[in-house]
Amino acid sequence: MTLSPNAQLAAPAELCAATARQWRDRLEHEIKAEHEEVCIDLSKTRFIDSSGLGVLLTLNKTLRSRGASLKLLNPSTAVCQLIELTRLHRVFEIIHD
Amino acid sequence: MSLPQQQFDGFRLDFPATLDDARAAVRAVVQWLTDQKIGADECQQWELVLAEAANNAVLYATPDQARHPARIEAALTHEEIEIRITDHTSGFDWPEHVELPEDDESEHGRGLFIISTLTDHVSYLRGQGQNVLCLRSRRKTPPPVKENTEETLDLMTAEVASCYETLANIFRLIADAGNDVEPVALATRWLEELRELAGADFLILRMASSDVSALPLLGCAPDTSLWEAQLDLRGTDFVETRAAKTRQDQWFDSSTSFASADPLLKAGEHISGLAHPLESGGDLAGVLTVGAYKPMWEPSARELNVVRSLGDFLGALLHGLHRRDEANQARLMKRELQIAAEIQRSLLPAELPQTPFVHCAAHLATVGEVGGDYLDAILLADGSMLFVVADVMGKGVPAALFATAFHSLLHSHLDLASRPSRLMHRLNQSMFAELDRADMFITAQLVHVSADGHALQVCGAGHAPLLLSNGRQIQEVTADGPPLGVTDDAAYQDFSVSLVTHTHVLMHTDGLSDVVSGGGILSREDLHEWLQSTAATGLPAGAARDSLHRLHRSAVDAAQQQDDATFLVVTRGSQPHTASPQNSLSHAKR
Repeated sequence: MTLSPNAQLAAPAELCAATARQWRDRLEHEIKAEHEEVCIDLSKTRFIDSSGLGVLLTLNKTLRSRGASLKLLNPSTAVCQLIELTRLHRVFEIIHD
Repeated sequence: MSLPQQQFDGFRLDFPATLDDARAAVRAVVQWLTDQKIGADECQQWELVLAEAANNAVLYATPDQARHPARIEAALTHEEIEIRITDHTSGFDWPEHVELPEDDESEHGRGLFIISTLTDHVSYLRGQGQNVLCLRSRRKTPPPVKENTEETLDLMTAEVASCYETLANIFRLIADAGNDVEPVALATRWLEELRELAGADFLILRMASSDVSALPLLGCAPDTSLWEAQLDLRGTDFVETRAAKTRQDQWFDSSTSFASADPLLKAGEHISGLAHPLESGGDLAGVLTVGAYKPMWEPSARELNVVRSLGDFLGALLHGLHRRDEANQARLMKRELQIAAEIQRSLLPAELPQTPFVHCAAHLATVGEVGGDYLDAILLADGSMLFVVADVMGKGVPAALFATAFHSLLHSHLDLASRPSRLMHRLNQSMFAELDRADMFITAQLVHVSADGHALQVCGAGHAPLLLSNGRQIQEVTADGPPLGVTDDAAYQDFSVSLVTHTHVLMHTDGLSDVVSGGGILSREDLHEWLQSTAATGLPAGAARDSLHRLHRSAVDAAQQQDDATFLVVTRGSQPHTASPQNSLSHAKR
């Protein structure tokens, strides 16, 4: 079996303190060292808090440390507003279809 | 987690110090805010702020502290939303200035920033064993206006009273309409009532024409000749026609841009009101316009309700009466046509007269109930015969009336029958004035055959030529003058022909073959061929008539047209024999 260099995962509807640990575990399971690019689909995510942002920041840092990249796909308006409020638009690569 | 406690005039919820319960508590507060008509965007901001605050109340609790539930309380004033979160952690010092982490990529340190940025006021009271975070923000969604119960009750009472009043008026209107009242009288009376009920200065009621191309005036109040008798719905853009075309109420006042020719302007420039379309069974029934001589008419809900409800009912009622009158008119017209047809039939002999030497048979077509074709065969006192075929221009009752007049005049001047031209001249003189006035005319052909059957004289008035054949050749006799009714001093001439035995003569209207204009079904050559072969075989008049009718029928069936042929066949026998008058005249009626 050959592994695709890209991984795409859908974030949960609520990426918050209550779901952060479970989501972090899932990322560790799904994302392999061979993945050069990881895309997180945020189109179904209606709510993120600072803990959720923390998970994304940790993932971003981990991937970057081994030369891979993280892309956030289609975040909702509310999620975009939070990212801008916390000035993380300078950190994350955000892609809208 | 306990349920919201209602004794607090707001929202209060105690929840176990776990992340899942904190999340559920935040959702419950947001739902409460939504129920209080707080806007979606505002709720979304509070959800984020409270999530951060509730997480702090849980995440910093030691296992021992976590045994005590946290509390979330929310309250609303007209201006503000205030939410408090009480926890039992050791607490912390709220920083004087809340900033984002210096390291953009730091995974922590944004919760307090989010709380501070998204609320107007934050205070954190750190106490012994419990801490209270108090958050306040000005409401972005204004509180709903409290209903004035007394005012609402008054309005509802007025509305019910208005409905009752309208209903009572509708019952009166039904009773009035049941008295077989004439629609215009009914409309006039009720428009006046409606004007008073609506507190208006003038009302105009227009009912749509049958083809919905115009709005004729049915009535107005006060009764005046001010308004246009009819408005054309094609092209014009007046307030009333716009209401009809859009099927929507058209309000007008001093600020309305009226078309320069708008009939409403006859009431003055400072008028206001409403043009209300009336419908019946989905069809446009008319337009009711209610107006006042003031720049702005502001009817009460009751007045507007009366105008619309009673106006709609009056419109539907009048529309129904109009349709009933139309149906009655159609029935009357049909009956009149039946009477006219009976009159026309009464002009014809049941059988055509026959003489020992001269036989005849004819076929008469009438289109609809009454046609304009006329034929006659008259046995004169000296044994000679006069044959007449005529065509009154047009169909229906007017044509039948002129056919009747033609018949009466013909029979009152039979003394001139031996000179058809003189008879034709007399007929023209007698009928010219009436025909000219009605802008109608009659084509006719008079043929006189002597008692011994040897001499024939023919005179025509704008009619198809007479055809004769002895079996070997065809003779076409025009002998024509102008149709009756065209000029009062028309001159007519006789043309004389000697008849030999076995001669067949054909008189016909242009429905059989329009030799003059080239219309008709059978061609000139068709007729010539038929007549010559009929004469050659010595076919009796009745059989010849039937033969020509069959020929014509097959032609009209092929062309899918109506049988509107009228013709008369006259035969000159070789020796005297007793004539059989049976079935000498046939009819075709559709």
